[in-house]
Amino acid sequence: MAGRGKNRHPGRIRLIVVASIVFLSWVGVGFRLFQLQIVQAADLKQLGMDQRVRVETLAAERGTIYDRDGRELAITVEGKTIGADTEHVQDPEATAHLLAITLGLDEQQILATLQSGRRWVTIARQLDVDRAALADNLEIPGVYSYPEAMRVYPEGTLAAQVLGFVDPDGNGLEGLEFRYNTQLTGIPGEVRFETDRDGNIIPQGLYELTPATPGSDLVTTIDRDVQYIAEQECLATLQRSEAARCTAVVLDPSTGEILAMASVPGFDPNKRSGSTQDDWTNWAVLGAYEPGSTEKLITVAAALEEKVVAASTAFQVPDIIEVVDGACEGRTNASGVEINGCYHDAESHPTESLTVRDIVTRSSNVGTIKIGELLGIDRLSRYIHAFGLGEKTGADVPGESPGNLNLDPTCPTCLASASIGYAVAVTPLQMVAAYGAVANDGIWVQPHLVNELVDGSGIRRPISPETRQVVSSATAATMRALLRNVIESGEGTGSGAQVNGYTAAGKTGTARKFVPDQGEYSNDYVVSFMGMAPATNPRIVVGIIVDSPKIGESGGRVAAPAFAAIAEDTLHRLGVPPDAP
Amino acid sequence: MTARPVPVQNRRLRVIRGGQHLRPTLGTWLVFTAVAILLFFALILSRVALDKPALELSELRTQIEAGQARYQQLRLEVAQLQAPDRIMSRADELGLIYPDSLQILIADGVGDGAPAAGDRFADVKSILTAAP
Repeated sequence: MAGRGKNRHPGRIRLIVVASIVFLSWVGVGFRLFQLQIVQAADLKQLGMDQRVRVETLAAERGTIYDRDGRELAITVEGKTIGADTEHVQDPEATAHLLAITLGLDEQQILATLQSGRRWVTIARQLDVDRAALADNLEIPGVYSYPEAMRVYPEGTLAAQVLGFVDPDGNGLEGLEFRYNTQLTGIPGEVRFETDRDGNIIPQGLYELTPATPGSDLVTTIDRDVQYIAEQECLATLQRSEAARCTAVVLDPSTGEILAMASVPGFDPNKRSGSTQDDWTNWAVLGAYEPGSTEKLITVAAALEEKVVAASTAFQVPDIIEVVDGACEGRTNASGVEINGCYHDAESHPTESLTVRDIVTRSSNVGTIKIGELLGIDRLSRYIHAFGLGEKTGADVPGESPGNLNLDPTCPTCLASASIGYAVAVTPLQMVAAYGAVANDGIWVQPHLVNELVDGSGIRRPISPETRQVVSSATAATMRALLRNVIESGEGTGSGAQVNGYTAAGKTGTARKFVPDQGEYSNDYVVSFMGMAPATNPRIVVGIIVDSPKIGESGGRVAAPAFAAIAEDTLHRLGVPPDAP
Repeated sequence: MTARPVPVQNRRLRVIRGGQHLRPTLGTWLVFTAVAILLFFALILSRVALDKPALELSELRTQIEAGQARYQQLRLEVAQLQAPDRIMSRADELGLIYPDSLQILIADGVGDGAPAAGDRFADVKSILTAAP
């Protein structure tokens, strides 16, 4: 028995040991399984997915910018970017030479890129497809192309300062592209898909597509043809007068829609190299200037509205007026600086009786200062603000200048200066909007460049401008009559602004150019014309500002003819029937 | 209770010779192979059938992208062809000039009640949204 028990015992122990090992092994496996499948499951699943799943961002198509009739002013198309894998480029010199000839690029620059030491390099971004195809056809080892969206401005220089431009990554940098960058950009989408270890897509694997939401389209108020008319006339004016710059704005006074906003010289946003910040600047909203006589509109309108004068009120007007004692005698103050406060008309004349109508027609500085003195600085200041000077119009343009008003009641010359358009700096758009209020029966309408935003689903978000009554309808009508006289009387400074077939009303402006750096006036002038047509029922307001003309040097000679040309062509374009015999 | 010798049992192992009729015949092998091959091809066929729509989908997607790119290019081309600057240059080349005088004819009813700019754009937009 003992022998049998002795024999059986070791076997049992072995069995128990083996069974225990197997059991523990299974427990270990089970524990590990629990760890892998339960505890770490989410992390490991994610790790596996990360290794297999690729995520590609789908760029949202940037919205198109249209003119008021749905014609493309800025559009995004597929371009091609040329790159190179420098490890596979066999002969960098020959490659650079071939690409330079084919693409019209700088050979040394390409060579430097290829020899930069980086493996993947970009040679040229966002070329048009046809041009990139030329490089593709060469089949140069190591050189490849891939699609990349690019912004194109099909009209070239047209409305360039209004539209602005984007950087190569599609971020708006200037103009409407910058102002409405968020709305135009849209929301990028993404696609997630599984790939094998070689990077090939697994057809039955994960495929999740989150489509990109395209950016909203922008429908501007710009009329492409009117914009072209304004730019061409500005260019012609620049050439005629040898001026430094010409700015033109065409406004629909009843809606506040800006039909054209031109600054010449300009630039082509498709090819910005060689252009300067000055060329990019939208001077119609960023370039504040002293308006000179065009600002007399506000002085006279305010005086009429306040019933300080009537159109027939007569003044004894000499050709010179002294608002600070001794100023006209060339006296100096204690510091030896000549005293300001002597104002005179553009041409000398004996003291004569002039009505308000005559004062406006002949643009008499002295007569207008007399009207301003009756009005007083407080009331003049109130109307200047009401007409929108000294504050931004809110016209969809980034960095808009509010201008600058110097209307200190204690300043002895401010009233006289402000009455005739000095001591105030305004933007061309502010002045055009002020004339728009007179054209629109005394209602100032906020000028604007964008009519509506249209999102990818076609939902339209119209933009509503602000409006306010500045002067009464009767005052506005009187002002239009006075301004019409400036052009049609034959005695006025604006005779050159007569529009073939249409009645017109407007005012010239000629102001010495103030140089802020030097703190004094230069010998250059800023000449301008602000007007409306047809005078009987104004459909457009046109403002022309010419900076530093060398030939002409007066608003009547330089800017008035440009107004006439733009007004005539624009009225034809808008289909406005002639109202003049 | 006399002890009796236990009868010795013949515990010799017996050889069973029945293997010949259990061995698979050539026909069985052929059928098995054929079924295996058929299953293999069926498997491939099912994979192809499953993958085909995915490939077609991918191809269609590529075609859509190409169509969209082409559409954008054509839009751009139309816009460039309509540009006033280009038309003016072309007119100059053709010797077209402005008339010395204009005679404007006003037709009754024309121009009155013309759709507003916004409505005109709506028409254009409805065409544009039908893009590929």
